[in-house]
Amino acid sequence: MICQLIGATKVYPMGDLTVVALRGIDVGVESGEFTAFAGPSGSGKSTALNLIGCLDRPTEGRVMVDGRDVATLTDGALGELRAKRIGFIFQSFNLIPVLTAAENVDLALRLAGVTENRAARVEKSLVDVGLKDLLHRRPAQLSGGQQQRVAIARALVKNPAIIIADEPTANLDSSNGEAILDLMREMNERDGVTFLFSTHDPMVMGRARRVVRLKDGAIVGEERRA
Amino acid sequence: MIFLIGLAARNLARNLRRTVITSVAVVAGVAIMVLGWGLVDGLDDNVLRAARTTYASEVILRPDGYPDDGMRYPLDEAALIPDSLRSELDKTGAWTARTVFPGRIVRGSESQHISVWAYDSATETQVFDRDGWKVTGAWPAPGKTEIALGSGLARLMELKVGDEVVIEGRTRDGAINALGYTVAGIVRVDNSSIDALGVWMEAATAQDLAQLNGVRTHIAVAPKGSVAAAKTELSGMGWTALTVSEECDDLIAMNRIRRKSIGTVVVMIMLIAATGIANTVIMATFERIREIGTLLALGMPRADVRALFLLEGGIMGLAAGILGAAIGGSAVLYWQRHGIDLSQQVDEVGANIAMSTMVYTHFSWLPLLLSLTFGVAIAVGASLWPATQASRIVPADAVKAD
Repeated sequence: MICQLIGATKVYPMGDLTVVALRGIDVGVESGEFTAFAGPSGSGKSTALNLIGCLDRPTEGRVMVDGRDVATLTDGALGELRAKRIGFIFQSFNLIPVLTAAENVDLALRLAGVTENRAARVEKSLVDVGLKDLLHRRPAQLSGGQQQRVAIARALVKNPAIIIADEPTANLDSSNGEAILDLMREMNERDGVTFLFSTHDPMVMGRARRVVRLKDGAIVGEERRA
Repeated sequence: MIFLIGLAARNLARNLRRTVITSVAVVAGVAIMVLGWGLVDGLDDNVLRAARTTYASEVILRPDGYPDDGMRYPLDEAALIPDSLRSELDKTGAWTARTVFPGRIVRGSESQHISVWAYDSATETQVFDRDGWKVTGAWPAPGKTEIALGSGLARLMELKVGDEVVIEGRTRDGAINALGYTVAGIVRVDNSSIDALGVWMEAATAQDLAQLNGVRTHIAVAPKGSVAAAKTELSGMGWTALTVSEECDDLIAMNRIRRKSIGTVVVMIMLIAATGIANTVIMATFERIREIGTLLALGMPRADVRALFLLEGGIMGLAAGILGAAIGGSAVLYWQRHGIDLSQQVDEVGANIAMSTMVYTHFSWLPLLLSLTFGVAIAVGASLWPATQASRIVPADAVKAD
């Protein structure tokens, strides 16, 4: 098991009130999975991804990543874990605007502490996502689909244990969205890269091999496909 | 760190107009600091030069108890130079003695208070380089009833070479005396106080006017060896010795006040600059919350995020500081070479200050480096709080920020 939520609860204070985003869920992801957390807005899928991605800590319960209980890790150790073992793809691409496509990808390697052979790895990664000729373009000079490909290259380049993608196609048109999903699926099947993503789009859910359905912070169903 | 510096520089460049506007106050503050210090240092030099070249040389001696305010010249407190002191003066280096006393110059119905500088032409030029003084006409010839006037006084009295005037004075015993003299020369002296009020005459000529009988009010010494040693050797023989720096201490103290005033102005400008920089960095953090969240999500340590924003402030301060130092330093270097001629202003206000009317700024690296460091420190200091806030952002929230 690469990562696991065990009785994970997340409560957000909101003024005098509290919002329960997750209600003690148990879920795990195995290596090589292509899994979607699905559900409507407010179902808790992004919160679950944030916990697995070590971007946040649970109010109750445990989060295990790579066999380590993240509650025992310091902020710095969590950062190191994210840098080396977890790749991220965001809905809004989240590229650094002052860096070129290659520099954005290189940033992930740099933060992971990789010192050798970086340029070759960056180039290969961008070639793999079909951006061979756009290495030195800045995000503003790329289309949305191209930016998301750079983000995928950035997530992939460090060979993480898992890539977490929070609604990766939500800001793309349908053809670009499908192309991105095809790319992710191809990498999963060809290289065994583990993907965990959130979505409420039926088309995206249709591409996942495992769909975990959430509603009001609880798991309400799960489907597995061949 | 090199990567962070590069990233910080690019971040500053992405909103260049805001960066430039923010930097203007730092540029102004640093430039004013460098120029102000150069000017005040130049004024220090000026005061010393004025004293050194016109009346004090390196060491000045006055009879014990004689006022050293440069305003009063009581003849009754003048003294004879004892042989022991003469002997010590001869050993020390070149020296010349003067007797300065108050008087009045009269031409027709107009008159003006003056200070008469009675000198010994045989020793005067061994101590003072008169070549640096602009003389129209000539110095008074020995044995003749001639005088030379400061150019400011000549202008005030509308006197020219060859004019006849009457000088009134009191003898040491208090008797009033008045004698006629011919203006042999008009002298532009590098000391506006003497230039405005000074009348030079040979000591032998002054004998008839003031019955000096050998008494002197000042001895100017150009020692062969160290100034401090000369001062020590010449002290304690009925005359008080001061180095030229000690002689000018009051005026230099005024310059210290000027330096503090400039410092206060610079601090105020820098506080405005700090507010601007802090505002800019705060705006940058708000605008880039998602970016900060992304960097944290990708594993950038919080300390590096903090360092990134501190670097942005620091680079802004450094660039602005270098520009300000270049502007201020260039101005100081220009006026160090060409000088600032204040003679017209001094004439207009009738200033009576023992300094040159030609002010040369003084260039040195220390104020340049200090002001540059100050500029950077202010910029980094102003970025500290927003940088710390940026590093505390929760990445889970920040990566989705608009």
